[in-house]
Amino acid sequence: MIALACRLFRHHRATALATGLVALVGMALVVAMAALLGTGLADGTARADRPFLTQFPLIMGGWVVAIVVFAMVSTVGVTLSGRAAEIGGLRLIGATPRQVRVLVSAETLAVSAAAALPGLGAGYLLGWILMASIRSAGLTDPASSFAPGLGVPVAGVALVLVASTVAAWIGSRKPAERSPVEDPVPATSKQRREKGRRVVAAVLLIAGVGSASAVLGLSADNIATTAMTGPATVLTAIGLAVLAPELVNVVNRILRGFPALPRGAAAHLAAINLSAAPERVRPVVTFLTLLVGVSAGTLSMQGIENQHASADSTAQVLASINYLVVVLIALFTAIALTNNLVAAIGRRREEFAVLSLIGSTTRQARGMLLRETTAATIVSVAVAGIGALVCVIPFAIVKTGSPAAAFDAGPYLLSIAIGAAIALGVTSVAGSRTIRNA
Amino acid sequence: MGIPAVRTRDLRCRFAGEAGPVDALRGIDLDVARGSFVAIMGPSGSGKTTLLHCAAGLRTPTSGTAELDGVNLSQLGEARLAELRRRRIGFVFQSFNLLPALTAAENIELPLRLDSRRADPRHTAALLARVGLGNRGQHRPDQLSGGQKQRVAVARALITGPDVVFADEPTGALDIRSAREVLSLLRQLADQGQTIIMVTHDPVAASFSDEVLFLADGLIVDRLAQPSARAVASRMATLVESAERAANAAGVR
Repeated sequence: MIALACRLFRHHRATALATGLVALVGMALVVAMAALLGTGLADGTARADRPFLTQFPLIMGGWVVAIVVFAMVSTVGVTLSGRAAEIGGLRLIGATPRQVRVLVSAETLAVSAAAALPGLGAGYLLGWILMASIRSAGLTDPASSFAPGLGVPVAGVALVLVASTVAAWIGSRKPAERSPVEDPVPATSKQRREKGRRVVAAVLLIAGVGSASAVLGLSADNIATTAMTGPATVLTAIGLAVLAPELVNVVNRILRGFPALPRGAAAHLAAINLSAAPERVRPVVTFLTLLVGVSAGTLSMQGIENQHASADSTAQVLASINYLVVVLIALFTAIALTNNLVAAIGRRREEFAVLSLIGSTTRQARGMLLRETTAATIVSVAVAGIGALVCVIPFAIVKTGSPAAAFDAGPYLLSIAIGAAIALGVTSVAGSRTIRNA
Repeated sequence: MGIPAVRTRDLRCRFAGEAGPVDALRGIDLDVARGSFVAIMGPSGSGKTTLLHCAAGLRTPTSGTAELDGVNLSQLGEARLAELRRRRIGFVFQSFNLLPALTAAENIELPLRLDSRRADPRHTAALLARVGLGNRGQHRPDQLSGGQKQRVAVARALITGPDVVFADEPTGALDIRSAREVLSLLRQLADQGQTIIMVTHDPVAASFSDEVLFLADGLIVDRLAQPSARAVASRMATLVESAERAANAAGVR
């Protein structure tokens, strides 16, 4: 089965590239954290530096692994839906759903393993840069030098390999269980899954908002204020991202509210597509919500910290680490967003060919795509922004005595601008290319 | 005569359609004897493919039974059905369903691999020779013509020595010459004792079978043994006409 997996993934280079990129960036981030952890555990490291150099990478590394699993589940799901015919063929000649899942997991493991060495190298480099900035800020003793060792970073690689394989196992469940003769999924089991998903979202949102609100009981200079609000924004963003299907329904409901608006062909088609095939824009909503939620929340929190905390070097270096982490997570979700968008648009080649046959221009077809992405973008950034705001308000109250500081528009506008630019830019470029070649 | 290879009793299948439920099968009783080659014909929407899917355990009927070699398929779980598909059933489909990354020989051996069995290269070579592709084992699907691809699919269907080969429009995507090659191959297999059930809309394809069953509106409405293409075409024409009359009458009501 493993040999078969290797043969098949060589045939799906684009798919393998999408999976490989997620694994590569995930590995670089986890290895960087593992390198810091290794340094914290090294004999040469000053005793006073050990708590920081072990706790910080453990917490951050944990979040990165969670996001890698999430991004991988989604990427595997999207790439498999493009291979429905192949999976169906395998099932027809007698492959069990389990065999298909083993196959997909083996493929993902093989692709991730190919990303291991470059990921390890990039992670070492990233860890070195992080350590250098920590040292130059005087946060650690000059005697503590970058000493990642080999064991911990390699364990980091192994962790990401396991995480991607587990993610592939989870992400391939639905495509593998689908009947090869397109029997519709029984309504009851579909409803049960929907319910399960909503329960997961509710748990995440309660944990996120709960962790953010608990900050109200702490004093302003307690380090736990930051340590609780940061994860709270991530949990809330993931919870909202899991609700992507509901968010797309909201868009449809709003659009149905304005049926009489004069629309061009592109807008007309985009509205129909959103309501007839809402699953197409779901990945965009998922990753955009995650991207904007995490970055707006963290940036807003850091902005408040910068204005109201003492400007010593420790605070500065913590701020720069926070910024770096936001940049990395943003980069990561941006890659996942791009992967998913390109795959989703590529799969609509036939539809573009039909549009072109009946006389649609490239401009009209691209206009349709851009409007679909715009609708998805608007709802994602709105919900993600609100989620981040809710998490940061308690932090603002504790730090400044009033919620006003949480309403500073800068971090939100910046996150929204980046998210929207990626979504619309990728749609425009990938759309034009696919439409022209359709 | 022992147990029939395929037996259905009062087989019914209902789908949720956009305008209410649709009865694709409305009580099919069917016995297919071992070693026979049966063609199923009927107008579009008559239930041909649904019957094939139910008989092959790909779809669970709403009621009634479908048995393969005496085993009631509706009592088996998904994993057992998959096992049955790869051990006792062979499939040939209009769209070939070959994996592009694998060579012809590897495609043929795939059902054995899925069954964790090692393929005997001599067996594969013999099968390739039997379908007339003795020297094409190392070619990939994109290096083969449509007819050759379908013959690879036939060889794949035979690798496990199945009780029944199900073929759904096996010549639908082929030119006349390639279609004739594939049909002659199926006829040869039937003559050697292989049970074959084929869905088709082509009277010429049906004329290669031992018996043609005509389906209309989810019921078997006619049978024709030792069919000629001309006789099949004439029955089909009558069937389509009466289906149209019935549809018009329903419209007037």
